[in-house]
Amino acid sequence: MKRFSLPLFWKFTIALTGIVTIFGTVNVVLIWREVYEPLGQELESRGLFIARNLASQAVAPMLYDDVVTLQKLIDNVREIDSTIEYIFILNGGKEVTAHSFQDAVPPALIAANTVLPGKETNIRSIIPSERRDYVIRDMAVPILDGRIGAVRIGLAEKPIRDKVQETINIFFLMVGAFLTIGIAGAFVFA
Amino acid sequence: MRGCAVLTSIGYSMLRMCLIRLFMSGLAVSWSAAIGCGGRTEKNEPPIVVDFTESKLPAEKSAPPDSLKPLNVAIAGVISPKETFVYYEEMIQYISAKMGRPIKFVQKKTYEEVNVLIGRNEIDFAFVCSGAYAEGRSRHGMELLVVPVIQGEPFYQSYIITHKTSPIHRFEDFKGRSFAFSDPLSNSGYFYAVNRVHGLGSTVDEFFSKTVFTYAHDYSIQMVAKRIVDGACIDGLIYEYLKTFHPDRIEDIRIIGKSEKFGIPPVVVPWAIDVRTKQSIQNVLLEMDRDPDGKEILSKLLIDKFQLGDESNYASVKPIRNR
Repeated sequence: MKRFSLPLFWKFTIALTGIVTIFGTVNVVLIWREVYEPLGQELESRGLFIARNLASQAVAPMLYDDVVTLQKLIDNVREIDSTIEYIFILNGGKEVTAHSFQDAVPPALIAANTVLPGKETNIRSIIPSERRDYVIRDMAVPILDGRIGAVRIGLAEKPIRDKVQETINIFFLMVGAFLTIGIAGAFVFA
Repeated sequence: MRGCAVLTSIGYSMLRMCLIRLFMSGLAVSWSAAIGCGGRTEKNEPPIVVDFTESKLPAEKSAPPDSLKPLNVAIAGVISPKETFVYYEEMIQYISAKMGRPIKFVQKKTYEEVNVLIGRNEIDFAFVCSGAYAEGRSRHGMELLVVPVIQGEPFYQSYIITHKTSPIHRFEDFKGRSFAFSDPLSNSGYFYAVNRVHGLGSTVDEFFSKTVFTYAHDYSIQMVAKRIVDGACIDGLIYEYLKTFHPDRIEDIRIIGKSEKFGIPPVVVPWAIDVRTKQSIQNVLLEMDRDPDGKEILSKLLIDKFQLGDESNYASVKPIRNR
């Protein structure tokens, strides 16, 4: 029986491609975990910092029923951070007291997240129905232990997804370059 | 030649084995790294799809029957809004439960704002300062409902305070120094000190180098403790409350004088209030100390009980006219 034998060049090429593909895939998973997760955590930390700050500043205007001051607080925060998708403040009866929307706050968004009793915060992922590839991290922070209301803030994940995609694109470029060099080497030395 | 070919063959086999092993071990290491690293627990809750174009306001709720309409209680900002809420929350919940009606908590920054609300009959009952009552009883039409009894009497004092390391020992030493008032309608936090200055034949502008209104007695204490101002006049009841429950907040201040006794800050109602509502609020407050739950709430506020007020107790409260 005649044994099928591949030329050495093809052996090198298949081995190289296999190794690069497998290692590349594994590394994409690694990059996703090592870059996306910390950036996501940083996004949450920033969002919670803003929300807690706002919750603390909102106590007096909430108790004085001073909606103008509450609205100013929201406007000022949005002005200094463009990555904030929305902010709104709910009173003890879960009614919107002030918000950053053009019109009114979507009712489904109000119901989408809530701080459970005894908890300091709650984070949920929100996907707009008209844009399914867009993820918003919605953070809820109670005002005065939830006795007088809550602050809700939404931060888009897009900036961090863009950053991760950029890293992966650079990685693929490098993998492609190494694969080309490897195949060229196989062609020369086979 | 043959030996050379054998050696080449052995070398090639070894190289192939090494490459396969290297590939397998590398794959194993990378895969375990991918699985094991990163660390953060994924959130189990799935994302929620929200229609952001839907922004209809919820349907208006129909007005509740009169018996379930919330009563409005106003609290003058004797202490900071947060502290006021925490201080009164349980009592308001208790009154609401006893009356079977929701109670809406209304806080205003200044005593004047509360007086105006009472005058407009937008408030059913209010916890006001003695100064605001003396100033507003005829002007805004308010009536004594009950008064708290603290340490056996319905009286309180204004305390003059300074920093514990300050060289000030008498009220007269404040000449040329900065001073904090709480509210322009506060008896203990404004009237008393201004009347003392007038008694010295001076005016506030001449006597003090600088004055500020803090709109809360605990803020006045804080400003003295932090040496932002040299002194302040505060509600003695607030001082005693802090001394009992938050001694750390008064540890840097020293009392250099106390006023005579004045009628204690009362609970008032507008003249135009419905008699039955007035009666039921009064009954709940007067019976509070005879109810175990009510007694417990009162003790947390250092109040013995509520009793009917005596108009003559407020005769010594002298509002400052022509401010």
